[in-house]
Amino acid sequence: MADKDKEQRFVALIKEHERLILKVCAMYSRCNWGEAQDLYQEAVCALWRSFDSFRGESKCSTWIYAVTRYTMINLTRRHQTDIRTASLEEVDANTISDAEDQMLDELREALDQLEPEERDMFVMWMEGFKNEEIAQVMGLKAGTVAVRLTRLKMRLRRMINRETKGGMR
Amino acid sequence: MKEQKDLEQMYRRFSEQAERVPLPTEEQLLELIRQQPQAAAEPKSVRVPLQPTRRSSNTHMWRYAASVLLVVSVGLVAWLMTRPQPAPMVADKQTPAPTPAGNTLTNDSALGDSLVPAVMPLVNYEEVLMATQPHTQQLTPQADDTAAGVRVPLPMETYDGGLLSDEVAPIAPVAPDGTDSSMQPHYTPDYNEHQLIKEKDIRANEEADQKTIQPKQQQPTKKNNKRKINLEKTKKNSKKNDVNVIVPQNQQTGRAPRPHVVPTGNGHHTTIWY
Repeated sequence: MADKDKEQRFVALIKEHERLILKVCAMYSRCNWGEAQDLYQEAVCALWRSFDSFRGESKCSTWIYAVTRYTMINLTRRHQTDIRTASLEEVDANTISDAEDQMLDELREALDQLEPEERDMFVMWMEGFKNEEIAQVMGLKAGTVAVRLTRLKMRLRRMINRETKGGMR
Repeated sequence: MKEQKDLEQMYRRFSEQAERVPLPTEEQLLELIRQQPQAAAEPKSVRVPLQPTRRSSNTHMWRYAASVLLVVSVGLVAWLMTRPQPAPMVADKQTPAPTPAGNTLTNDSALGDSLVPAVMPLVNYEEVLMATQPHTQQLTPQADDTAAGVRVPLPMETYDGGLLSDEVAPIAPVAPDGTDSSMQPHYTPDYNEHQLIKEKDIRANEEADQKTIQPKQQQPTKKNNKRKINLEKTKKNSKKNDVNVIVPQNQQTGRAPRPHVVPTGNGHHTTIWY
C-alpha cells in the first residue's frame, strides 16, 4: 500500500517536471528529440532509484535537475562515442518537424560551442532558477555562479550577433 | 538588449518544440519504475566502503612489521659479517691427544714436530714410527714362521740388539783412542778438530767486530739543543754588546761593506756598515 502511494507520488512529481527533464536531455543530445526521449527514460529510472534519498530540503525542481544532470553526464561518459560523434547530418535527420527553423539551428550551434556546465547554467537560467539554486545544483558558490552567468550571457550575445551578421551577408 | 531578446526567443522556440515531443503516460511510467530495482531495497552496506580506516590501519601495521623485520635481518647479517672470526683450532703440543685404544701420543723428538699433525689420525704409535723411520723398519727383527710361511714381525721388546741371520753387520768406525766409536752416539772422526776450528773462527770474528764497531754518537736530546740555542744567543748578545755598529754582510753582491752615517733620530748619528 505504501509502495503504491510512493509510486503515485513519484509519477505525479515526474509529470509535473517532465518538460524540464526533457529539455535537459535535449541539451545533452544536441536537440535530437528522438535521443532525448531515450535519455528521458534513463533519467526517470535514475530519479526513481534515488527517490528515497530526497528529503525535501531543496526544491523538487532543483533535485530533479541535479539528478538528471548527473545521469546525463554519466551516460555521456559511458556512450561518449555514440553521443558526441553524432554528425550534424544525423542530428538534422532525427530532429522533428521544425528542423528548418533558423532560430533553433542558431541556438543549437551556439550550444555546441558551450561546455556542458555552461549549457546547464543556460537552461537553468532560462527556466528561471535563482543563482543559489544553480549553485546548489552545480556545487558552486552563488557569487561564482553570478560571475559565470554574466560571462555566459555576454558570450552568447556575441555569438548570436556574429551569426545574425553572417546570416545577413 | 536585442541579443537578450533573441536568446529568450530562441529558448521559447526550443521549449515549444519540447512541448510537442510525446512522453510516456502515467501508466507507462509506473511500468517503467516497477521494472527498476529500488534503492531502498538494496542493502546499504554495499554502497558504503568496507571500513576503509580499519583496512588502512591493518595495511599500515603490516608494512611497519615488514620494515622492522627487514631492518632486524639486515642488522643480523651485518653483525655476522663484521664480528671477529674465532681462532682456528690448533692442537696443543704439550697435552697428549688420547686415542681410542687408550694410548697417548706424546711430542716425541724422534717423530719431530712437523710430523705431528694438528688433528691426529687414529693410528697406533708403532705404526706411525714404522712409517716415518724406514731404518727402524730394517732393524725390526723378523722371523720366519715356518708353520704359516709368513714373515711375522717380532715385538720390539724381544729384540736384543743382535744381528739376524740375513742382515749385514755395519762397519763400526774406530775412534782416535782406539775404542769403538759406535758406542759413542754422536761421534764423528773429525768432530773435535772441526769444532775447534769453528770456535776459533767465531772468536776471531767477534774480536774483529768489536774493533770495527764505533762508539755510538751522542744523539741530540732536548737538553743539548737547548744548550746549543743558549750558546748561540749569548754569542749574538756579546757581539751586540761589543760592537755598537751593525755590520750586515752584503752576501748578494759580494762587495765589501762600507761605512754609512745614519741619523738615529735623537740628534745622534750611527755608522752602519753595508
